[in-house]
Amino acid sequence: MKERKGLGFRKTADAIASFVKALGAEAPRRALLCTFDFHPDRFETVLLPELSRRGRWFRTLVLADASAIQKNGALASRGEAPTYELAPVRLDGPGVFHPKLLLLQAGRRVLVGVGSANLTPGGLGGNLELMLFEDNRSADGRALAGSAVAFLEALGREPRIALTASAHRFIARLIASLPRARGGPLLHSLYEPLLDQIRRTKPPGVRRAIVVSPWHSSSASPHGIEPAVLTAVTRALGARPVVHTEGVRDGALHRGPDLGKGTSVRVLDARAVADDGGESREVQDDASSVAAVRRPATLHAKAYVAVARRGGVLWFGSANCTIPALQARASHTGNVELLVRVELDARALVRLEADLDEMFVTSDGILGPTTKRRIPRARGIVLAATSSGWTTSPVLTLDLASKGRTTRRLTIARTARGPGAVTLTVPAGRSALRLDAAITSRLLGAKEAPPVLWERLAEGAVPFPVSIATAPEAGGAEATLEDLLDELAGRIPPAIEASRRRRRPGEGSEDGAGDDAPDDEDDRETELLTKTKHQGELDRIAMRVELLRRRLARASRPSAELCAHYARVLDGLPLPSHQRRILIEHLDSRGAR
Amino acid sequence: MTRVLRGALPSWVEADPLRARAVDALGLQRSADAIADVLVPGLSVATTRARYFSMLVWARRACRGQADERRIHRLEVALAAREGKLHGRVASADGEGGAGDKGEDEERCAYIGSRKLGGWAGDRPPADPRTEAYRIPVWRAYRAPMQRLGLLDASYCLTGDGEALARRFAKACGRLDASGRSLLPASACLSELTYGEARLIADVLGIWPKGKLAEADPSSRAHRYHLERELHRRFGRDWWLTKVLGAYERVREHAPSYTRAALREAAVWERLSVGLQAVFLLWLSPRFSQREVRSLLAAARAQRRAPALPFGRIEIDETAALAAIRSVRRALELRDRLAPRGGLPHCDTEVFDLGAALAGTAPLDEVLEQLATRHLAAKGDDAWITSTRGKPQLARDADDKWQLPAVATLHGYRLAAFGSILDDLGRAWR
Repeated sequence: MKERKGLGFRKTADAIASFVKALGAEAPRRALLCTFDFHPDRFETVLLPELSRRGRWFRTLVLADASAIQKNGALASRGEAPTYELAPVRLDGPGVFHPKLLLLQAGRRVLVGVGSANLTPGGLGGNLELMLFEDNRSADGRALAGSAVAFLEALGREPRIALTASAHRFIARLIASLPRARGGPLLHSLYEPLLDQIRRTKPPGVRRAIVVSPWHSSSASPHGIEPAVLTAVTRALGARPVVHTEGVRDGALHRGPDLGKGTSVRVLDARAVADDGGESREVQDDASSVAAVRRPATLHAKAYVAVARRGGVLWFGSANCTIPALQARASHTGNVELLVRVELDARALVRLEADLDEMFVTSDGILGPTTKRRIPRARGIVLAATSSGWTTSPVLTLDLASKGRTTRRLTIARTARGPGAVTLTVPAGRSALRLDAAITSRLLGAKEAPPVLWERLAEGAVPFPVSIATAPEAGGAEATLEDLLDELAGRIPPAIEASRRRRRPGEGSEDGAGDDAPDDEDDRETELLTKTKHQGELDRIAMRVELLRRRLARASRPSAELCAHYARVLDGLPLPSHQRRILIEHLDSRGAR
Repeated sequence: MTRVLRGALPSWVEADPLRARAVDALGLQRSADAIADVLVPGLSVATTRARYFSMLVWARRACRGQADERRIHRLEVALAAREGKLHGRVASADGEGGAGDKGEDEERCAYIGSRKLGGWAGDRPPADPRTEAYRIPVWRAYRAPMQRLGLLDASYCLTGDGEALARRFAKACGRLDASGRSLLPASACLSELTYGEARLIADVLGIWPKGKLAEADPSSRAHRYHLERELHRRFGRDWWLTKVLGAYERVREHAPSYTRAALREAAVWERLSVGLQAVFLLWLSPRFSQREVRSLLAAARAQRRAPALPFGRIEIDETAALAAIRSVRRALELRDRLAPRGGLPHCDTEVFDLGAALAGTAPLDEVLEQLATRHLAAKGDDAWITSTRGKPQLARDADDKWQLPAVATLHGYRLAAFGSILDDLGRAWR
């Protein structure tokens, strides 16, 4: 194989695996993944095992666009008793949740992955995607992690964006334990259009520009180039871009979209992508080669380059060349998007351009009109459900997309059609609804809690995911502290552990999760907890606060923000105020040592 | 804080290996897997040779502390090269390439990825197993089943049974070089399984135990035991997938054992899934125009009386529509009989609705659109087609190697792998 001059090729699963192997020893271990489209089957087969190998189990939350996962059948491939939480994100009004971000935390170590790839078969290598993975050992990695945390904090605060309560709690825990940096290299569209930020951060003396983005004709789609936006991009970058996009091969012709006079269009030459993609692009020599290998090279990467006298600046990420992605802010009518700003020196620019030259050819024909692809708005009032476990009688809580001003009626069922539907009344002002045991029993019909339920609407039905919360709702003070301790020690929550064991009775798990031998600290903790088992509740709580303090002092070298976060958690415990104060003082006075 | 990254560069996303296996066009594999988990839990379609269990535990023992995949790979290739030397041009893993006039042993020594080693002439194994032999070690295919059988623990360390099996392999092979620098001896050949090894493997699998395992025993061993007993009782040693499915399709018991129920359920699911797959492939086939496809399907729907169809794959030709509709109708008949009694617990009921629409009177365009929708949902952006409406457009194929399958095939339910292992063990027993 000839030596490649361009950018490297890397598997997403490999990036995760090497982080988990090298830096995943420390707890708490958390994984947050943002995607537009979501394909549960491929995620559960390819990525999720990497987040549970080597006995290093990550609490995993997937944020996906609510309308994308309501698509017909998208959730059907979700496995039974999933060990991760899937939380749909819905924007109030137009716009979609479109960022592609992966953030793994193992104690102080963080891996950030950002780019264009969704958690779908295409995003995991079927499409031509650009991704960057950096851990926080390097200055670039720290900057990226800091701005990713700042983005998540802003996401949780944006009133137009509906998240589940558990997702809010998970994000709060995550950002409390990590440093954040406003104004870092990660640009988001929450408060300011991305194009304005590109204009502000472009290098001086731009000589030429490059745009890489797929092509579709509809302005309602989050994908694709809109000719009208190109004018604005030209102004922002300071030069008319050469557009690299999708085309159709028609005999000897490569047909591309008509993007106006004077715009040079290059289209993806799929053959070039497949010919030289690295070792794993060979036909495999194992049993799987029985099935034919197929790689449709569909362009899904999005990048904007301003080339100056020496080098240039690259912005790449999730934002297509469309109005909702580039010219609107998510707090108004736009999409939630992310771009990363990378300074390219002359060599890096050569590498990028070598790839573009190799993979794209000049368009020598015009595409005919294409069908408009509109993304339907998310329907229904339920966002997701959380379950206390995968049993026949769980406690189910429904997270609603908004607080209604009036009383609402809601019908849910295990299936889209047929008998077994349960109708509920949602009082005004409620954003969550806990189902009582009788309703749960009618809904589940003596079967185990499913990974997907359906909301029946006047016309049709829409599915919503059911998960065990990655950050459970504060129950009693003892349970809350227990969960925090479990997380800090890297232990699997009991509800998930129980389902894992039940699914594979008497057999070792393939992924080796949960098999790590308890360390000395774990042993001491267990011993202390056992000692207080038959003591009063306050003693048990005090012991857990002490263990929390020890864990914080030992594992994470707690920052002021982290101590403040746990102090807030203690302040929210259902205890008399003087007891809370004593516990907070105990945590605070010695936690920073 | 810097506002720009200075040293970092993004990379293109490389395809994950599962893309090569993504042939389940309509998302029907999940139900088949659930049934296979009842029949043959713990094994996989790739675990076809019993002696790999003993060879791989020995290779794992040679690594001592931690499983060293590269070393195990070298040892595997040291065996593969010996097989190549012994048996000349061995058959490829998928049965192609043929063994010419070699005997049964030679053919059965087909080695995953051994195509490059057929007739190996060197006295030493290839220096770089990844490039000169095969890239993915056999260890990957066997390690999870070995964990489930209790030969390895969760961190790939040998269990007591694993240690014992490794010792028996070493004893059977005599002097063994665990460095991977020389070929393994002829006594390590996959067809030279000894009675001692076979006894232990049969024990961990749960087959041929002393005494009986209770029907209510929920362990995986009991599942495999009951399957072996059931197939042996009914067919002796002479069985294969289509024969088994054909026989159990006709089982009319009200309360069969879980093994018999699962075999019957597999038969029903295969009737349905092979029919739906055939219609989907026919619709996409470039051999037929859309008008021809609709006309073939309409004619097949109109033909109400048709003789019973034997089990088997369906070739996508002029007869495919008729075979597919007959297959789906048979599945619906069986569904109507079994579903009210809870006889199809692992089958996706929505697929039967799709089958009913296809075999019934629903407009063909709607049915085909439903098939396309199901395909798009199952494959996501890895779909074979680009739209659900009108004439289906095949997604662009980047490397021109992929071709639309020309046959609708049956799911295997791991029965072939199980049968092959039983065969290996039986030969050692004799």
